[in-house]
Amino acid sequence: MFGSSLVRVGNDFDILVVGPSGEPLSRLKNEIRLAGKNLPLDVLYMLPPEAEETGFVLNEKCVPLLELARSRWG
Amino acid sequence: MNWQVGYALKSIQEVRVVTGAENIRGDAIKITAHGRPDAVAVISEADFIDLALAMGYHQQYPEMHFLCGYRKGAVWEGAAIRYLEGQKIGWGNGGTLTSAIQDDNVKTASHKEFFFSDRLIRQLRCVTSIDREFDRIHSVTLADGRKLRIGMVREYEPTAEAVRALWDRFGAVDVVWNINPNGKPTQKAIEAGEELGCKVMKWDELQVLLKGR
Repeated sequence: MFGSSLVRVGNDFDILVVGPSGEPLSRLKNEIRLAGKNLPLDVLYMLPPEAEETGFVLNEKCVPLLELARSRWG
Repeated sequence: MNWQVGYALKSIQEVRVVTGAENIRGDAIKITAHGRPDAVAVISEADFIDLALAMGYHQQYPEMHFLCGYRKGAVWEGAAIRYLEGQKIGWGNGGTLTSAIQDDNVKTASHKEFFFSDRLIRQLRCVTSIDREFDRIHSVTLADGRKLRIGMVREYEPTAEAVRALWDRFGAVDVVWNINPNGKPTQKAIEAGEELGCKVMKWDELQVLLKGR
């Protein structure tokens, strides 16, 4: 997760997904569509080389969802 | 209260000039702000806003000043945009609405993600006509007779997935235009464009292509 909703009320929740394209991505997109039915999700999909090329994880200070869940709910 | 109305109210209440925001009925909210007339916005959860839906909202909420497609992925049909603009109703995402309240232009605001790039194309003298098919898809006819179908990608970092998703959703385009001024298409995005048969570019390159030099 990244973006303004980490620190304050934002318009939406920004999530970065790094992974392969093709079938796994289609499946994931369907699941995210269901998860986001009642949530303003903004999901950015990147291939692993793209994540590396852009340095997005570091530059945007992305926080792993698991870590975030642990810190909120112990 | 509908989920998207709840989120919209929360983020609008954070806007500096706003003194109140409340759900009046259904998807409609009323916003009061310092030194500005009260504004009524309809907050839609639709993924796709076409002419019928826009007209339906207007019929249901005749007092509406702004139609907000709250989902980040919401797509607006060109005919819906023309209808709303013709009726002096602002349109766009949640960010557009909050900016419009601050700028006091709720009735004339248009989707902020595409506003500047739409205007950039319209300002070029070499462009003789534009058909805005969807918020992000422009078919342009140029003075020298060429026709180009241009798709805008606004992601922070346009990725291969963003290019493929645009193509899958809207069909073939000649150009995928990365409209985020700070963005730079990744190598994989450029390659994905080559595989599909379109060029992925930024404004400096597109401008040259449109001007035919």
